[in-house]
This record gives sequence, C-alpha cells and structure tokens, in this order.
Amino acid sequence: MKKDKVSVLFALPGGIIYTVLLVIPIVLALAISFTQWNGISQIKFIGIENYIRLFSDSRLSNAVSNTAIITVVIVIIVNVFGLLLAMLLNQAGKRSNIFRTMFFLPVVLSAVAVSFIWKSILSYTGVYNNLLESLGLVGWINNYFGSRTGALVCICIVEVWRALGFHMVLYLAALQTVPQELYEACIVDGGNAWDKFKSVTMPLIVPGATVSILMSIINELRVYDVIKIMTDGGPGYDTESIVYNIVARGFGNNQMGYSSAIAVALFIVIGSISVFVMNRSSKLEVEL
Amino acid sequence: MKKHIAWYITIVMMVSLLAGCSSATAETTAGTSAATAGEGTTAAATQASSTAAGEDVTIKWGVYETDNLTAEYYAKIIADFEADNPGIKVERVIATGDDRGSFWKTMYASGSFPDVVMEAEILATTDGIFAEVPEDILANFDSAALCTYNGKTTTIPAMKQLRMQCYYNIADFEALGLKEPKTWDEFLAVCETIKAAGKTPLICGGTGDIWATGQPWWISVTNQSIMNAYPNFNEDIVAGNVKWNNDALVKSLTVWQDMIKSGYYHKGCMSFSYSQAAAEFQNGGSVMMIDGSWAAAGFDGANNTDFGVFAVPNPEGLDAYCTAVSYWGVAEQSENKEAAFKFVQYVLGGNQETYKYFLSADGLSSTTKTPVTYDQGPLMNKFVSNWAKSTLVPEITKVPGDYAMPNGFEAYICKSLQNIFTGSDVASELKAWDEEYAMLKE
Repeated sequence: MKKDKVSVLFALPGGIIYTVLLVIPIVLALAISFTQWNGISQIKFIGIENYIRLFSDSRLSNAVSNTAIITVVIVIIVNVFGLLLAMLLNQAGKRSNIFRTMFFLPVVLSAVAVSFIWKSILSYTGVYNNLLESLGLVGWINNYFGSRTGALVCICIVEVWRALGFHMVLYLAALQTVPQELYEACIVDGGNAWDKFKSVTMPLIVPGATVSILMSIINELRVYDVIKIMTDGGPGYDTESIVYNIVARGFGNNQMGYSSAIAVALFIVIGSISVFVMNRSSKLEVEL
Repeated sequence: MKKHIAWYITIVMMVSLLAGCSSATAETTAGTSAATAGEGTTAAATQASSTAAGEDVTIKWGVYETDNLTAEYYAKIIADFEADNPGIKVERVIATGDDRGSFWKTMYASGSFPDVVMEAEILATTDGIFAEVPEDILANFDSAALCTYNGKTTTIPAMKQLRMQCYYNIADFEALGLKEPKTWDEFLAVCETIKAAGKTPLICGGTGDIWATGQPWWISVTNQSIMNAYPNFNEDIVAGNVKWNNDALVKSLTVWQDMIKSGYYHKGCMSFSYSQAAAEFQNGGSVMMIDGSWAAAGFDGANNTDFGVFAVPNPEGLDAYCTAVSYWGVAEQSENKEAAFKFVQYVLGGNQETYKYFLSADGLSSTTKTPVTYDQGPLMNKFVSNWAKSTLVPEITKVPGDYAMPNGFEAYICKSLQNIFTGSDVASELKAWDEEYAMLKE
C-alpha cells in the first residue's frame, strides 16, 4: 500500500505533463472540431459540418493520397532494408559499433537541417546535378522539384536516409534476443540459411518488427517537417501531406475548426491502424 | 528514512515542473511552428513591459527581413525614434519565413502579439486584433489609401509599392541586338530570340517561395486583364456576380502557360527560392526576370548598372499597372497603445528623414497626404517613368478593407499558379478556385 502511494507520487509529475500537453489538447481539438472558429473571434458550434466537408475537400484528398504514397514506400523500405542491415551488422562482430554509429547518425540530426542540406543537394543547380554534369551525364540532369513524382521521390529519399538507422537498431536489438541454440538446432535438422531466417529469425523477431513497423507507419502518417522545408507542399499542392494540410488550414486559412476535424480524423486513423497491427502481430508471436 | 527521501525527491520534481512553466516573453527572432490548435483562451496579453511611472516603456515592433530590409535598416529607424523619444524603447520581433500571416496569427494565439505590426492587412479582416486608429493620425494620410473593416479604420497605410516589371541583362540584350519590347508580339519575339541563342529568357522562384512563381505574371499582366474585363471585380466576386473561372482569367493564364510550355522559363525554377532565382538571374542564369520595384532599389543601392527594366507588355495591349498599399496596425490588446501610435506616427511621416529612409530601401512611395519624395537611383527612376502614362488599377488580391480576399486565399492562388506552371489544366484549376473561395468566405 505504502509502495503504491510512493509509486503514484513519482509518476505524478509525468502524468501531469502528459495530461496537460497531450490529453487536454486532444480533448480541446475534439471539441473545436465541431465548431467554426478562426482562432481569434467567437466560436460557433456547427455540429458535424467539418467532418462532412472532409469527404468533399479535393485538396485534402490530394494530401491523403500523397501521405499514403509516402507512408507505403517508406514503411516498406526502412523495414526491409533495416532488417537486412541489422542482419549484416549482427554478423559484423567487433566492427558492428562503428557501422551502427554511422547508420544511426542521421537519426540524431535535426530534421530541419537535414532537409535544407538535401534540398541544396537535389536542387536543379545543386551538388547532384553538378556532379552529373562534371561526369558528362548531362542527359540525366533533372529538375527533381519540378514535378509531383520527382518531389515525392526527393522526400522519400530524405525520409529513408533519416529513418533507416533507427529501424536498423530496432531490428538489431530484436535479432540479439534470438538464442543461438535455435540456429544450431536448425542446422542439425538440415536447415539452410533461408530455413534459419524463415523458421527461427522471423518468428522470434515479431515483437521487434511490430514496434518498427508501427513506428514507421505512425511517423510517416505525420510527416511534415521535411515536406515544409524541402518543397513547402509544392509544386502547387503536389506534395502536401495531411499534417501540412492541417497546419495550412488552421494557421493559413484561419479554419481552426476544420483543421481540428482533420487532426481528429487522422488521430482515429492512426489509432485504428495501430490496433490492427498489434492485433495481427500478437497472433504471429511465438513463445519459447 | 527511505520514505523521507522519497517525499523529498517527489517535492523537488514537482517544484521543477512548476518552475519550467513560466510564461514566455516574446523573443526577437522566432520561427513559424506547427502549434496545436485550440489553446482555449483568446485573451492575448502583449509583451510590452509596462513598468512603473517614470521608467522606460518598451514596445514590440513586428517586422520582416529581406535583402533590402536588413537588421541594420530597422536598427537605424529604431535608433532615430528612441533618440527623439526618450522613455520609449522599441524591440524588433522578426517574422521569419515567407508566410508572415501565419506567423502573426501564431504569435497572437500564443499571447505574444507585438504592439505594432507590419503588413497588418493580413489580419485586419478579423475583428478585435487591431485598435481603431485615432482621427488625428489618420488625418496625415492620403484618404484614398485609408480603408475600413466593418466600418472601423484599424490600420495605417505605411507605404505604397509599385508592382512588377521585367528586368533584363543589358549586355545580353545588346549582344543579341534586342530592344525593350513595347508590344506583346515584340516581347514574344525577344523571348524567342533569347531562346534561339541558347540562353534562358525568364526565371522565377518555385517551391522555396510560393508567391515567386505565379505572382510576377499575375501582378504585371493578369491583374490588369481582369480589371479591364471586370472593373469592379472585388465587389463583384464578393457579391457572387462573377466567378474566378471566367474567360479573361482563363485566357491570361493560358497565355502564361503557353510561354512556359514554349520553354521560355528556366528549367530549374521549381527548385529555387525567390532569392536563389534572383541570384541566378544576376549571375546570367536567365536574361530577364519579372520582379518588384525593390529590385531596382537594390540595384541602385549597389550601383549596379548591368540591368535595365521595362513594363511587361500586355497581350491585350492594355497600358495599365497596379500598386499595393501595405499597412501597419497597433494591437488592440497592447498595454502601451499611446507609445505604439507615437512610434507609428513618427516613422510614417512624423520624422520626414526617417520616413524617407524607411521608403527608400525598397523603392517605396509615400502614403501621406503631402507626398514624401526622395532621390531615387537611375533604375528606380526608369521603373517609375515606364508607367508615367499608364492607368492605375487596383491589385485584386491586395485590395484591403471589406472587399479584401479571405484569409489564405492569396496563398491558395499562389499554389494553384504553381500547378499551372507545372502543367495543370487552367480551367480545372480555376473551377477549384471558386470552390475554395466559397469555403474560405464562410
């Protein structure tokens, strides 16, 4: 009983911060999503009009499409290549620390700084095109930010570069929990490398993979900073994401109610996807 | 003992939590941020530190910096004012980035709104942000520049900006035997000649600054075409008598898109910020660039005589131009309104030399009842003389007051113009303008 009281007291500061900075804003956003409010003047209750508008807003549809493309591409790449890199690092022995540091470095860098640097690299007059020109590959020079496809590819490159190291570390940690005896047993049973991966590695890293996949999905559904710096949602609206749309509607168009509705909808989508992924993965988990 | 230690640590953590929650004072530099909506309270206490009688009053001045409007520029204006007004201190609050409207709104929502704000017209359509301007201050300004919002005058006209013309590299023109074009056909011929010589005729900014893609064309050509077709466009669009998807607008933007498809624009436009595009132009990346009067002031200030300027010929042969008036506002919730209005009055005409200095950096014109003029450089004089016989029309997206564009619509137009630049169908884009306008007007 006394231990419980002390535990609660220790958890209280964190709980207060969590409530004030997370729970209350979410509840307020939910309340504001049923209103028409410019952020300054009086609030006017309008029921579910904002939610009805979600389905007829072509600019939002475009943002959803962009976000979906970025999310699918990034989730696949960082998880597949993150696992591959982790498996290689797991075999690297003493040198694994150096490689782990190198791959993890982009994760700790500021997203804004990274975006500016990559933007200057991929700009029409940037480092990459200049390199191509100096190599005589003039035909390969392109204006990557001049089209939707090019701009989305640039954003995906930066996001992969930033996130790969983090997911590699998650998979590495998961790989290091797999008992070596199981691999030996597999070899004794006549299994090859693929059998070891399929029958030993994959089933036992499901918890780690779940975390990695879930985090990559959540992060990419909320992508904003890289887009804001690199393309500002452009050209036009071609790379606007859902969160970019939320900010533009809320602070650019003074549509706090509508932008809150989009934010609540995104919150529900992310929550639903999280529950789905965790449910599915729990069925795939194997206990030793 | 352990229990006492546990209590002690808990109390220390609680105190540190509360200590970290002190109210922030506005910083002199702040970036735009994706602040969560719905903070609840609308009361915005300003950052002016009103102290006891006899001590200095400090007011915050919300500004933005450009290549011409530098930290030193603002520092001199502030120093002039403070020297003549002991007891009032002025601190700058710099709106970084291009989206100054969102920056000011964020500051207002967070309770950090400056006492005096430049480009106040962005927020002036919303009641309660700016204080009503005293009549004795308004009396100093040209009545044509004054505007009302819901019957109240809450902004002060600070300066008038002659809008955009086409700058060109004189050496390139001479080498290609070109003269300043006076008609649309001559302008197209100039573009074709430059392109045939293996050079790039035009350049503009792109994703770095959304306005820099389409607004040069919009301001120098399209605006005049719309005003010619619909002389009361702003009133008509508010009343629903005209749509954005109209023949005049489709025609003008299609002409622009045809120029882009003809390869008259730099291939890398979408990669550039406005500053990068301007630098690329000055370094020979293109022969021409449609830009604002501030560029002429910048060239004159640097004694750069490599560039000339001409008014962009209109495809319909119209000889018209537009100007934009920019306004300052004093925050309704400022605790030092008197000092704030004093500052505004001083800079905007109260001290003629300070006002001239304020205007000259960007090649701006005065809005005072008695015009304030100053010596301008040769390129700026040429810029002004290019329109000596032209007709002045309003700039649709900059009309202030009750017929102003809804918040966010100008940014929407800029983004849509980028879509058109990259090949979207003009009519489809303009249909979306009507839908967006209707939504934002609500």
